[in-house]
Amino acid sequence: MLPSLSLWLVLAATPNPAPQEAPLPDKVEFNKHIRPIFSDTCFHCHGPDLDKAKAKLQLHSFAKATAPLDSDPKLRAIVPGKPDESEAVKRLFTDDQDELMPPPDAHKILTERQKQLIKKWISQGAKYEDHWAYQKVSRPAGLPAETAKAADILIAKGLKEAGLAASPAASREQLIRRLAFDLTGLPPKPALLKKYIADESPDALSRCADELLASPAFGERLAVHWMDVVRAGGTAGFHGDQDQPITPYRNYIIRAFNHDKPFDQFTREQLAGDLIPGGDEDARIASCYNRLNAQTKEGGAQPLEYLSKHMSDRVRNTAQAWLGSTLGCAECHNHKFDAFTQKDFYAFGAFFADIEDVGVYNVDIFGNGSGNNDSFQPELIAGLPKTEAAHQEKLWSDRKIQMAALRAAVKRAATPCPIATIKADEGSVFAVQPDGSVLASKTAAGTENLHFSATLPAKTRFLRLRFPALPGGKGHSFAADGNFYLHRFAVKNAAGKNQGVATYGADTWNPSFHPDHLQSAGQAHHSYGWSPGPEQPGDEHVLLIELKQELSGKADFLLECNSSLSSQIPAHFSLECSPSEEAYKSARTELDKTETELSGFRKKGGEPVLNSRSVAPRQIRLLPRGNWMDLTGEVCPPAPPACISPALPADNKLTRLDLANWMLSPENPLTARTFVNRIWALYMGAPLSNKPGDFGSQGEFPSNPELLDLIAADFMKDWSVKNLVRSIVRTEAYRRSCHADPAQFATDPQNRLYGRQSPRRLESEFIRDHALAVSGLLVDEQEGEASYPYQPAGFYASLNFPTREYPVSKDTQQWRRGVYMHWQRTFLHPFLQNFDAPNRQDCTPLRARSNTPLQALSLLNDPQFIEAASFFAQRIEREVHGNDETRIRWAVRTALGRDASADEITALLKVRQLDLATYANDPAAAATLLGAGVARRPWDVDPASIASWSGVARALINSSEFITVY
Amino acid sequence: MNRRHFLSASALAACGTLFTGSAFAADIGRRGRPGFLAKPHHAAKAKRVIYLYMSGGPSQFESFDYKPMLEKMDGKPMPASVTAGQQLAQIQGQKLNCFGPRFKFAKHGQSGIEISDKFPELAKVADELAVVRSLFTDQINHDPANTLLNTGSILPDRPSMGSWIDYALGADCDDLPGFVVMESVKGGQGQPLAGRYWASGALPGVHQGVKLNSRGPLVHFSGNPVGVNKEQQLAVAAASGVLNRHAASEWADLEATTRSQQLEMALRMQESIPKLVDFSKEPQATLDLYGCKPGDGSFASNCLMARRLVEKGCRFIQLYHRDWDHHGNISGQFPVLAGVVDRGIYALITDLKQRGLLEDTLIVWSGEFGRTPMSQGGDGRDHHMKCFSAFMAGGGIKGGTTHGSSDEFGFAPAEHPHHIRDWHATILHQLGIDANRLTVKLDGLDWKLTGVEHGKVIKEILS
Repeated sequence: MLPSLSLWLVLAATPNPAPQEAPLPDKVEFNKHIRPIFSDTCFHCHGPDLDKAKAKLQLHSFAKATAPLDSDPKLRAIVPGKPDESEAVKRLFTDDQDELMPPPDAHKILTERQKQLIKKWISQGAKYEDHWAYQKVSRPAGLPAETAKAADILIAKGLKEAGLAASPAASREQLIRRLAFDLTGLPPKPALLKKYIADESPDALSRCADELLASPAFGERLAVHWMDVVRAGGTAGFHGDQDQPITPYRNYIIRAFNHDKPFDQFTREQLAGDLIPGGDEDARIASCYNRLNAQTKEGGAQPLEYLSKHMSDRVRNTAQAWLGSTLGCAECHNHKFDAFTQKDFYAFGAFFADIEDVGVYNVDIFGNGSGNNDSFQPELIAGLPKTEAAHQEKLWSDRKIQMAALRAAVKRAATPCPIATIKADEGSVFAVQPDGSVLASKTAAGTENLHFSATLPAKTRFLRLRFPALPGGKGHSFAADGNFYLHRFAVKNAAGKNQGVATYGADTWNPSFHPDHLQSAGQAHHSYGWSPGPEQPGDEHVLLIELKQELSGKADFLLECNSSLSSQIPAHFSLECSPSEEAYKSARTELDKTETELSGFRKKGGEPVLNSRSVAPRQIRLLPRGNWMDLTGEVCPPAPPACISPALPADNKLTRLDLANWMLSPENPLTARTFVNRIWALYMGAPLSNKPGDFGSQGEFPSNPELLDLIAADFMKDWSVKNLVRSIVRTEAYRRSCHADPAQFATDPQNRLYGRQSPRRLESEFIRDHALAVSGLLVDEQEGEASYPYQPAGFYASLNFPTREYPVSKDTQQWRRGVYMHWQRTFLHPFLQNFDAPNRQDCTPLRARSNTPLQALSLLNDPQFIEAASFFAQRIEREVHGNDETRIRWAVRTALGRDASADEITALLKVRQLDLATYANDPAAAATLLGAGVARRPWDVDPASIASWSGVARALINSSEFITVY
Repeated sequence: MNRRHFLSASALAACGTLFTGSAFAADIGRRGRPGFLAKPHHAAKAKRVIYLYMSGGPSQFESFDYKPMLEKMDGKPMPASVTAGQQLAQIQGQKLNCFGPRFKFAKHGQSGIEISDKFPELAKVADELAVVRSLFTDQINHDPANTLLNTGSILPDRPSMGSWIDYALGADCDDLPGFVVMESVKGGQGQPLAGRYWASGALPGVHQGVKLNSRGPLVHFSGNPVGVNKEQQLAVAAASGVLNRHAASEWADLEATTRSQQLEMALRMQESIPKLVDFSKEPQATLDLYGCKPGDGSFASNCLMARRLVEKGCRFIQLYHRDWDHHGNISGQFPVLAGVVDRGIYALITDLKQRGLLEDTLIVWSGEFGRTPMSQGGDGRDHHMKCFSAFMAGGGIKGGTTHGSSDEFGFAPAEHPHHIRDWHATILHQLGIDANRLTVKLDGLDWKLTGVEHGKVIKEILS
């Protein structure tokens, strides 16, 4: 689930500040030293997954590791204090390739130091420790109340232990620049720089930070990060990758950070905004989070398969985003490294089983066909006037009531009509029961045609086929999932003439198998037919058939069951007749009206957003080996994984709101740690635990565990994200120079001890924002629709259903901040992609920071940077007075926030002179260059005078410093 | 900056700092970009791969898997015992009738490989091919199946095949990407593709596939801005290089130095990319062989470009052609599509052979799945994942081989079933890579192209 490892891979290349050759520690600790070795090299075969434990040996707990071996009860893998008697030690050091552990074909080779560590740990008593990340967060004792001061003390302690000196603070100007980029994703405004350079009071920088934290750009900056974490793209992700409306959700995130919405509320609203009693529109918008999974409209996709994909997508993301856990790995088997069982995966998924959803969006939740351009209902139309908004909510609630009324009406009394005879073409054996129903003792393996007859009462207009559940809780058929499929229904009168059917209705249907899809006599095989879907045992399903004309007397019926899946043939059914069904018709009409109005609500204005709506939960079963077709697994009611506190036993009554509250419990060890670890990295370069998406056994023991706990504990006090960020940027560690003495680089190459600041390349959106800012083109407006910056023509040529042209923004939308860019998941804008922006199909805890030639080509030639350079050039020409050198000094300061050196001035002057000469000879080229982009040229001077500064502007935009925070 | 410096430093940027402890290829004086593997796991039979990707799922029954029984049973119900309990796509829940091959088959070459008459050109080089008729996959819809075939997983963000190979072996060029993707036009609307099929996932971004345009400018952003000449472009880059020295010296920021090197490489790419589309030096005989107008966006033109990329040192070239999704009118559409690719494949194999390049170039032809032996709507076939056919040729492949077979109805493998992870393992094997040993840490796992499972090399098709 880690799409972009390189940031922490870059830093984690050697896993610990201590180099491998370091002497063995006096005291070997399980969590710090031993667990990483065991987890990586032993747990795959000898870990928490008992089902897969080779020789039934498990090494993840003291009790298991020190128990007599299954193979030889005289031996034990680990004998505390006695490495020489420990079978594990013997197997680690043996020369016998058959005995050696890990076995050679596992390609896991332990270093000599790792072996010695294990030996020493056993000799010291083999003391196990609970996994660090699962222990309750507690603030380390004896520290000052102020988070920043306490953090600096812990950092100083770490540096001292490593014998390192910290770097001095960066210059005031450097720090203001750093703060501006880190807190807002934009360069400092000149006024801000001037104000705080002049301000000599000791708390000037803190006030500068506060000013930036109060700027609306703060929310825009953090939204980029959060949208990576929750994989908020703007398209469906699968197949046709159609647009999905999430703009109000994006704006919600920005507002939440700007208004410092407490993280606990932020969490509850996203996971369960639709379930919060009295929740406002914001909360309902936030619940869009539950619909950010990839979705498809692909024909031939099976709804049940995609419902299971949706669930696993949700489990993967929620577990990783909030719990730093790879619970998603337990979809097909128990987790190999962590104590997650496969059942934990499905029980977690069951929290999301109430979200109204169809597996495949070629139909919508209303049972209507859904085209390529149709919405992925349910959606909410946000931002409507109050009365309209209230009306919309009323319609949704009416719909629930009307659906229940329809079901009730369909069930209302009608006359039983005993079935007289029944026969089957393909070997099924049915018998007429005393109550007039028919019951199978055996059904065919594949397809089947059932012929039955009955004598109908006079003037029959409505037929009801009732399918009661089979005794013993096996559903409605002999198939594994108890489900059945009807493809065709036909009825003939006594004269043998086929009777027309006006409408089909049913109380329930499997998505894509709507009763409307039933074929009548004479119709071609072009759709699937009706299936009620695998349901809870005990339900009765009813198919309601409205005939075109009244019918009386003897009638012959045909039911075609054409599922190719095994035995999906109804095994028990009966017939009822009714001359009219007014109650049903009016209930159906009312519901249709409501649903039609809801489908058309987009026309009322406002902004649509994917929305989660709670309905009766689907039954979630453990899928053996993750196979969606195998419905023999046990039913899993909602529950969080048992290995994470606090205990919350499985219960069908648990909701997403309960899940959110469980995550936010003071007992929950993961939620705060996971969040602050990532936020810390945004400001300090490296996270405290270097696998921000995995706090399990294969994660990394934090470089400074007390520091992580301190930050997490203080965050949990008020869940204020602004306070969290404020505390980090107030530390001395944050304010250090990137410069370091050679000892620091040598001993702590990845800056895991924070003795200096780390240079950090800007995220892609902020690179673009920066270029727009120095050019003066940046349109600093909040929220609004998706923006479509220039993109190479034909970039979406491989898309289909529908085919697409990129609607490049031709007005001020063009120069809005990157956070507002359209996000095509399967074809991400090449500039974003080149600069490591994730496609947002999965949780990206932190972005990679690669350095590639394609990046260089983007900055050199992408029209958005050419246009920005032209406008920056215009500023150099028009806003500065003086000779070329003066202008170059201004340009360097504006772009890089520092003075130009003599050789830089020389190099840039050379560019300037070449451009001057070129455009003097070729004014047309100057005009062409300035023609890049759609911006209106507000100046009326000779194009050559501006174009001849464009090379200088481009050289600056192409420099490493322009895209890096120091 | 000298080349030695460039290579060592850029390699460091690309992967060195990511994966310390790895040894880089020692021959850095050679033109090229070294990969992660210091040396192959075993002797390589192929140096590079051209993957002819038939997106949409071409029918095995109209290409390589002749089924007399199906022909005999045409229009009759498929026995329920064959299909009971099996997942189907669009014909799920419908009456299932046998659908015989639409076209005539004949044995070709000395080896007698059976090929339908819709591939007359390809049939001429039958003795170069190793056809496998018993492949299967476990995804039945296009997008997940394409993702699985390309990345070994249906989860997003897994590295693609080409990225793995580029990562492991680097490329024999430093002025072009090592992993190149092209897509041809003609044949109507096809199933969509997704950038994730050639993404680098958890591997460094430098290994991502670069999609070249089959018409127009070859690479996005690879031309100077309009109104800027080459001298100006170089001057801009040179000035950026001077500016980058500040960060490098002030903060010992290695990335700044690397960025100068990447800028230099970008300029070299700008130089070499236009040369790729200069077909003026191609002999007329070659142009006649491919039978296309170079650069017209056709599959044959892309095949010609693939050969040129091979000569330049690219490692993995993937040519997509979409439009094989014949749910209906297979009798009419299949010949059209076969006609679109037939000549290009034949020409590519022939051209490479003439130039002595076929022996170390692995050619792979497959779709993401096959099609049902049952009919859909009377003249179509639905998606089928249980069994399909594909072929390899060139680099270390035993030409004239037919391996594996399907049951008499063509529904499931009868002999030598091979999951596509075996296909993956075989491709890597030919390049000297043991698929089970090329790993990257991902979610705590040693992730491989074959996912958490082991792939078995299909030894029977190797020479």
